Amino acid sequence: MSNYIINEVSSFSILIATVISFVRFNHIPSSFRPFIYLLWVGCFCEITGLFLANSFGNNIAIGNLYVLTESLMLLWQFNKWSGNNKKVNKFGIIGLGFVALWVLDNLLLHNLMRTNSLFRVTYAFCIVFLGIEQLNAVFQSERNNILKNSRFLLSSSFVFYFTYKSVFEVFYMINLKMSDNFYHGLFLILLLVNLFTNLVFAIALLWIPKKQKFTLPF
Amino acid sequence: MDTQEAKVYVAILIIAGILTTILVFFLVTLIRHQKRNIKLHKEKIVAEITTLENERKRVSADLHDGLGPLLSTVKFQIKSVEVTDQGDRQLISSAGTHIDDMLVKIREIANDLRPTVLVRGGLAKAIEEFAAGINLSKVTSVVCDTGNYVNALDKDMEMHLYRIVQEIVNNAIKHAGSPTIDIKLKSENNKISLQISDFGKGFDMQEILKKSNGLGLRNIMSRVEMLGGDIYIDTSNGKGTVYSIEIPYN
Repeated sequence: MSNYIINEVSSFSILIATVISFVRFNHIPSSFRPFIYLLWVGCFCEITGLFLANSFGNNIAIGNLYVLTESLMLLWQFNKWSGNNKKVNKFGIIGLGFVALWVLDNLLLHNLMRTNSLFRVTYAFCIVFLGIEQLNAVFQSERNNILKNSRFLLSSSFVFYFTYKSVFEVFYMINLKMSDNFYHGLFLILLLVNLFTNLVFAIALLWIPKKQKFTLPF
Repeated sequence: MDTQEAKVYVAILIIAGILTTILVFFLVTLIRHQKRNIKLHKEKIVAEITTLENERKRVSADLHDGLGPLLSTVKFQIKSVEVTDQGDRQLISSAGTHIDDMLVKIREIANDLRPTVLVRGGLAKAIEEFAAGINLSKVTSVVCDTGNYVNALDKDMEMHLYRIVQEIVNNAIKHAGSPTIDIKLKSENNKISLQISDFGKGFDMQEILKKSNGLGLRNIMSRVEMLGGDIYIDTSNGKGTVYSIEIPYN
């Protein structure tokens, strides 16, 4: 299979989860809504990115905008799961930090038309920690089979995907003098991780219960 | 890729493999510990609740079968005392009335600890009687719908469900200030479904979850867990509360 096909399959594997999210939207509790919206935004960006790449040969700008949206929506999702109702909380502060870093990386230090890795590495790293924190919260409250818990599946996927993302983006950030083939090979690993993650997203969406079970920590 | 780059790439692949192994190991270990935790937690709550219920049963039996007859005997003995003085007669009559009150109270306490109607008539009857008792007190109006309930649980399980109903209704009376409380109990698709709705103040669930110090809620949760069921609570400030409990049975 050529890299191009793997790239497209991996990118558009998000469609499976997106279709499920449309079908099940009314049966999914509001605590999962930010993730659903993120899927839709992701899908929109993939399609727009493909269009821009075919028309103008470059879709980097939309990628840079997407990572900011993704980081903020994931924070919103973690905030929802944590059940925090306060207007100012750690997620808000982290969000402000994300925006500031994105502006620094994409507007002040560099420009939108190149792949800027400083922000990508940092936010991916933060999401890994927030994902681990969420996993611990799930372990404290889940009384049944944890493998069928959507929060567990989604958080594990975030930890898995963003661990790789933060590691691999480092290569782009320090800009090693390697050939294009090397970077394509590197990107291929991330594509496979992305494909796996999108499939787990689809399973997690199928297992989101219609009603939110009530549990207290152990 | 030249040879050097290929070597770096292989090294990266190995690192990625190691990272995956660590992540998978991390998750598998957590899952194993979570399973063990659940098992221990369930054993603990089963032991706690069983001890509590056994103790209630014992105290109820002692009150009903021990103290009750004893007091009745005392009452007859006092009544059999022959006195001529009007003041003494009044005193004996008053003591008899007090003993009657005590007997009624003892019966109420014994019944509360181990409702006889639950043992004899089953869960639906016990809930209806409990609701009727509250309606008599005129604190709030409880509407019961137990028509679609088929006796499918053993007495101990029914006792747990009855305690859950008591706890939720008492909570609603104490905290929600609801004018009416609806109780719906039914059996369908190998599940007992219990829904209790009040139209009172409601509460902020996240606050309760965060504090997790609500003894009543913890008690309800423990009993639902013990029965292998699930509980769903739909509430928010000012919008009342709906408790939905589903208990599977064979």
